[in-house]
Amino acid sequence: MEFFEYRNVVIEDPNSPESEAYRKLELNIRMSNVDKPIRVIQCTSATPQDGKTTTAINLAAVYAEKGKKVIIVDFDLRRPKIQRAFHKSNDVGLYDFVVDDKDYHDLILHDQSGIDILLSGHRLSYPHIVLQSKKIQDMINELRKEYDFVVVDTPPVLSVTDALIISKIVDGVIYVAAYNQTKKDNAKAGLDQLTENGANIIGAVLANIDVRKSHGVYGYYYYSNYPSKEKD
Amino acid sequence: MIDIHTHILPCIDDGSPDIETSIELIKTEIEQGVTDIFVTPHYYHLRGFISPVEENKKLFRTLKEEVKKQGLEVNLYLGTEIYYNRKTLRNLKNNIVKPLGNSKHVLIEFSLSKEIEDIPEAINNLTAKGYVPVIAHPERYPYIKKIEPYVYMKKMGAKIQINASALLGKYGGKIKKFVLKLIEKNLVDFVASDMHNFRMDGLKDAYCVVEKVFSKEKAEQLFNNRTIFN
Repeated sequence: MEFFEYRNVVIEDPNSPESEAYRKLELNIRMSNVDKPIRVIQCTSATPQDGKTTTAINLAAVYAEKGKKVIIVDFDLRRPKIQRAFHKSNDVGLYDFVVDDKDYHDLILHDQSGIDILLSGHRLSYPHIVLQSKKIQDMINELRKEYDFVVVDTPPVLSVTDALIISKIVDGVIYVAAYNQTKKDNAKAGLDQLTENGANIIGAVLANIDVRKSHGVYGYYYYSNYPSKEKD
Repeated sequence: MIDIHTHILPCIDDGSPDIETSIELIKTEIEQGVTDIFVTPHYYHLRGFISPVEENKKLFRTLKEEVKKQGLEVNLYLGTEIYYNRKTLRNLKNNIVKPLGNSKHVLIEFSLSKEIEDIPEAINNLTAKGYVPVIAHPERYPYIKKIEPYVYMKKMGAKIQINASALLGKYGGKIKKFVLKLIEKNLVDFVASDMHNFRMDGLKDAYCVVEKVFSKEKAEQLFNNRTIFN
């Protein structure tokens, strides 16, 4: 039984240093890719509960705050969480699109924050096969046309292959690690797997820092342009 | 007292087998001091209890007529004890199962042996649709042994219903002690009988336990909690 709470500080506490860190994250994504804007963004991490979903929802909130049309898609089909972050009922979503061939437009929820949401819906069998399907790829391509930004949440890299599969159809990957929690070896192994699979890692987020104790380290540390082709 | 969880609707589940037994059970409830009874037959697919609301309503009407004929002073309301699974929201929408009476409270149960369904997820899904989930007898779930999950369930918007039997030590001394701890920490909302034909209710004795250990006020709060009508 997992109880967890997500805080969307950009919405709930817009003047906090934490929300400012997410605005900085958005700025850094934009500035580091001026010539080729990153519009479909995957948030993932090495291990569970490292902060990827929190990063995804807050980044989406920054886009909404800026008046951008943004959708968050829950591709964590094994342990979906986005419904919890937005307090939505997970009774319709990707399952209905994949299994019942419903029009995904009818499955999108419109949150009062301005963020559109596509949940997982009921549990799908063989998520890794579903995620590789042309149907999913085509949907992402359509969403790319329909939205300014598409933020994608996925399972952790070291748990299952899903995150690696999705990394091939997004524009860029944000790699999240939790301060004082994510093990160094795991963080490195996850990153290695992504780079070996040719993921375009556009940056990393160090989450879970208590800004009130950090003495000048501002909440979420971000570094951009990780050399994803380093091993080539 | 208000009993929010009973299996006295005849011929539906593992509760009352016929209308005569139902009437006897209702008489027992009245003797215990119950004035309002929620009739909550199981909807539990794996156990073969799949009688939809429309069918239950017919039997409920028959039961109410018999209660009236016999001049029994008790208010009856129809509900369902729903075994939660992924179809529950759809079943609520399609009126296959129903909330308690005319309220938004939904009585849900989970596996008594191992953790199969995700309880926090169930609470999230139901509250997001405007329902108030009432978790039926969580003290019987062996996978919830600590106080913390109760704190979170409550925080997420669920209410907690424990069985009178737990307070009477019928599930063992350990569970009785644990339930008293839950009450002490204000984590219990209702005590109900979960009355089947074979499990007599014991509400009166359980009330006395709470009154003795805590106070009459506390006992009233748990056995006569009128928020169930909201």
